[in-house]
Amino acid sequence: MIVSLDYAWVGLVTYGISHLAHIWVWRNFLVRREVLLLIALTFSPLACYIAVLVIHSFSLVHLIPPMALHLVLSIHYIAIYPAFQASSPSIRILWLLSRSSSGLTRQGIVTRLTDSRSTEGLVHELSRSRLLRRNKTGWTPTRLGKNLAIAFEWYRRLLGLPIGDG
Amino acid sequence: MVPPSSGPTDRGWVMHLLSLLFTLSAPVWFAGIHIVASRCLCRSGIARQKLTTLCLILGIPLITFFVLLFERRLSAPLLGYTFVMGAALAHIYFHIFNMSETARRIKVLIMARHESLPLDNGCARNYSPQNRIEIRIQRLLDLRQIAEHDERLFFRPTLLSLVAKVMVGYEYLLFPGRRPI
Repeated sequence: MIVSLDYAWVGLVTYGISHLAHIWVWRNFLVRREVLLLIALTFSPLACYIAVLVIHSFSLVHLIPPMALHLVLSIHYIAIYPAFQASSPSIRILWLLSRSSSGLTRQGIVTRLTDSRSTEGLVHELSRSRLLRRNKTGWTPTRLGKNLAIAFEWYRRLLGLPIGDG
Repeated sequence: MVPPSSGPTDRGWVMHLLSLLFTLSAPVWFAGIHIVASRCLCRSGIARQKLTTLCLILGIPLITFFVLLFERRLSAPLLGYTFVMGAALAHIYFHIFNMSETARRIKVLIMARHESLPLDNGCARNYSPQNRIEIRIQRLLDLRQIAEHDERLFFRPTLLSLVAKVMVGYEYLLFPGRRPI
């Protein structure tokens, strides 16, 4: 067997350790640049893999499967992290309804959830992430923000769908 | 314990590399399946998230099948490894689609690209927090994740509602300062 899966489980272990470190840091410190620190935390074990490869002449064929698994699980978590960070409203609606046996009116849900995030707050978050910039007339996208918006618009066009409702 | 180094000795190495690259590029194949399905079924009335999920459910075994074809062998570790990688990559693709469909920040970014957002928070008129909640309630009703009787909304025991409980619990674990509503 050229590429060995014997050590693939190591990818799960290193991912688990970096995930636990992430939870510990988030619970105990005030994290400002969340995404950058999250990327650094989840990808740092890859440096250990490379160190093991160089120092111990560990065969690359044994390291590729755990490295790939660690990489994919890390990207997966970074992709879903915004839902936790931004308190997904759909998830909150489901959670709210699961706690109410007599149900809730639409207005009841709107009243309980609308104060959670104003549009102004979203704009400031995008500005902090360097995706929007303020000029004399208002907020416009930075080059990165513009490219991101264009990418999503093209993606929706490829799917034959209109822009999402948000 | 240092396993012995083994180099690329035969053309099997190329096939293994191809199979790994094929697995890692799974989101591209998922996107291809999704684009075809979405364009063919756009008028069928099927909910967009449901269609995406169906495409991914079809895509994961397809990726596994092609990997087995590349590898020319069937073993439980290979099957398990490919399935875990395929499922994680499918979930990444689902989140990219979900961001394009539901993410508030992406919506605000696209709005800002087409016309500069006024400094006085003028975009709130078209995209207010109330609107956002109404849009989500309707989406959950369309997806049959909640039910409506006599103008009241009710919880339905679905997989997504279980996921919601886990997600709220995890959010509370990660951000202990936040209180669930």
